[in-house]
Order: sequence, then structure tokens, then C-alpha cells
Amino acid sequence: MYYNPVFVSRVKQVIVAFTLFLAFFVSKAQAATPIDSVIADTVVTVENDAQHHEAASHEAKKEEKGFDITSFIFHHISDSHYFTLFGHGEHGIHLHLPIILWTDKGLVTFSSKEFNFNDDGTVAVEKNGQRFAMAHNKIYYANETADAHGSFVSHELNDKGDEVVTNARPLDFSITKNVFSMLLSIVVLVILFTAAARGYKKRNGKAPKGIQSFMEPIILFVRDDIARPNLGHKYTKFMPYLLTVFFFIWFNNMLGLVPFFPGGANVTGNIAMTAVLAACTYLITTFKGNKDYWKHIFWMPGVPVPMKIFLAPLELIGTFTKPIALAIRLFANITAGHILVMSLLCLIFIFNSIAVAPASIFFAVFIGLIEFLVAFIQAFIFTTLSALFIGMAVEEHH
Amino acid sequence: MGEDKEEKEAKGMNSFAKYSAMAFQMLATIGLFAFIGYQLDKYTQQKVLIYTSVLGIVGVAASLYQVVRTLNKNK
Repeated sequence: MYYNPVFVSRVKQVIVAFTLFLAFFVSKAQAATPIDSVIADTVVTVENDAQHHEAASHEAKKEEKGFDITSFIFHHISDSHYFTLFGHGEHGIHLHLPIILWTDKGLVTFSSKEFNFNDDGTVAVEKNGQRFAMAHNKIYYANETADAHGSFVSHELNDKGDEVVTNARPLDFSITKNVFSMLLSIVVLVILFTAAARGYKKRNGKAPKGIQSFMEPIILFVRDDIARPNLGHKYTKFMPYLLTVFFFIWFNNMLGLVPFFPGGANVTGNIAMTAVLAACTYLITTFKGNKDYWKHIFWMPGVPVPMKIFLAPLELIGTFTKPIALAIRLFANITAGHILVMSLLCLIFIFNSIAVAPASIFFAVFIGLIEFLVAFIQAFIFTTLSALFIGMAVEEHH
Repeated sequence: MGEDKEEKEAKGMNSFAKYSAMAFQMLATIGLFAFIGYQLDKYTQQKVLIYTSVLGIVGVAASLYQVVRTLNKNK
């Protein structure tokens, strides 16, 4: 297979290059501003981000120069109600996505344009006799009157010292950035696969052509290297699921790497999204699991009775931790990639010097190329492990 | 490329997936146990995080057990 040399021989080169690049930044960090604190900022202060963000947005009005890297990056990797084509805030060009709410008084729909990019609850939109306000990308029922800061949502400090919004929320079925990307990828995948399927119908038994010849090796790769080794002769039953998961994750990973309009959403770096995919794998292993599978969980053969009782809860927890690990891995890898690329680009603004730009952009492009590999590897690993878990559940013992 | 080499490399990729899955599964197991412990501590209002530490250790043992079991199965 042509893909193999990439992983086997180039991996060492990639590791060497990556180490050099890290060394470069570590020495740079000691010389100039402490980068460590920046990175720590991006990672550690997730919880404090909400507070920080609000304080920063007030300050930003006063002082345009200050650059808040944490909120910038987290704004990029989180879901949103509008798609930025280019520019920033009111000066940019945006695609406003529809907001669809199921409220106490039924369905309410309007464009996200009405919130006017407001994210701290100071704009209340009235629809159907109800008022809504958006705070930190979530939509709440707005209060009758604004508080001292002009906000229509009530804030309260919880026991951890974080500011939380106490207002009630309607059910939010909005087409957000992530939902939009998912729908787009579904449409593209359906078109690709129906085109390929038509090719097989038209050129039955002949050599593949066009899009068909692009898809065939990948489909065969999933069959021969993922499904067959893990599932044995029962693999045909699970091929539709494995192919769907593989192409859906791969395509969304790739779409997330595209820096302009249809791409750029962080779909596979969303924990809810990966959790749903992992839940699908969990449900398949649970419902397709045979007698042996369940016997090995609840009444392990070949060990003394006290041991059997002791092992049952451990094995049962194991069935849950497997899909959890699956979800966390995909989420962490893709999110880390996005944060890394954004952090590298933000270095220019942290050092506040254009001299950093060449190095910053070089490494951002370098990491971007590695992310192409990661996009494929993560899709591959998710599918392989799904096949492995299903394989363990349907395996026949002799 | 020879048939043997191809097969070996495909196997290598699969083992890579399997072994890295074990690492993440250990993480999830320990995390799950520690989380349960933390909630117990919160519920019983302990001054010292006794449940978290005890269940954390149990989680490490459980994850090690899972690793040993997976390794034996893969033979």
C-alpha cells in the first residue's frame, strides 16, 4: 500500500523536525516574553475564560491595542451562530445562520443577525412576545430590565467562583456553524458516493473511472486493513457503519483545516459530536455482543468465584471507558491541532513585531501539513478501534 | 513491495491503534474512578479528599488490570 512509507520512514523525520521546532521556541521563549504563560493561559484558564472574556471585551473598547489571545482562540474553536467569511466584528463579512428555538410558546425562528454579534447579553431580541439574549454563545430568556452593566441576563457566582448565567434557556435547535458544516459534509459525501455507485453500475466489471477510481482504493483500504483483520468473516455486516464513520470523520477533519468559508468549523473537535459517534460504537457493541462477550463481562470463565464477582464491575466499567477514550482522543487531537495553529499565528501579535511573522507562518504551515496527516490518522484510528471493539463483541470462541 | 512487508506494516498500524487506545483507556478509567470519588467526597462533605484518593488508586489498579488483559488477549 502506498500510504505505508509515509508512516514508517517519514515519521522519524517528522519527529526530528518537530523536536527542532520545539527547541527553537523554548529558547526563544526564555529570551523574550514567557510563552509558557501564554500556552498555560490557553489551556488552564478555560474555566476562567468566561469571566476573563467579559472583562476583556470591556477593556478592548478602551484599549484597541491589547490582544486577548485566549478569547481569540477559544472563539475560533467553539461553535458559533454566524460564519465569518473575512474581517472581524462589524467590519467583516459574515454569513448569518438561522436561530431555531423551541420555547414555552412554541417554535421561534429568526436570523442571528438580530443579535448584532452581541455576546454579553446586552442586546435583547423580541419575538413572539418573548425576549431572548445571547451570552457566551448560548441563548437565554432575557430579563425585563437590564442590570447595571446593561445586560439582560442575571449573573451569579457559583461555589467555584465562576460567573454563571442563571436565566432559563429555550431548547436551541439552531443551525450553528458546526451543524452547517455537518450538513455540508453529508451533502458532499452523498454526492461523492452516489457518483461512485453510478460508476459501478455503468462500468460493471470494467476498470474504475473518475471519482470512482479515487474512492475505490480508500474503500478497499477500510475493508482490507480495518474491517477484515478485526472482524473476520463477519465484516460485511459492519462495513456500512465503518465506512460512514471513516469518511465522515475524515471529511470533517479536512474541512476543519480549510481556513476560509465552507471550512474552518471545529466539528470533530467538539466533544458532543465525538461523544455521539462513540455512543454509536457503544450501542453496536452492546446490541451485537454475543453470549461469550457478556459471559466474559459478568461471569469470567476459568477463575475462582470470588474473583468472578470482583472482576464483573471492572469489566463492566471497561465497556464504558472504551468509547469514552474513543471520544476524548478524537476531540483532544483535533482541538489541540486547531489551538496549536492559532497559537503560532498569534505569536506575531504577542511579540507585537512583524519580524516574528516569517517564523510564525512557517511553523503554522508546517503544523498545518502535519494536521493533514493527523486528520487521516485520527479517522483511521477511530474506525479501527470501532472495528476492534465490535470484533471483540461478535467474536466466536471455540 | 513484497507481500510480507505489506502485511507486516498493516499489522504495525493496527498495533499502533491498539496500544495507543490502551493508553487512552487507562486515562479514561482512572478519570472515571477519580470523578466518582470526587463526587462522593462532595456528597459526604469530607475535609480530606479521601474517596478521591482511594478510588484514584483503585482506578490505577483497574486500568492496569485492563492493560494486562488486553495484552494477553492480543497474543
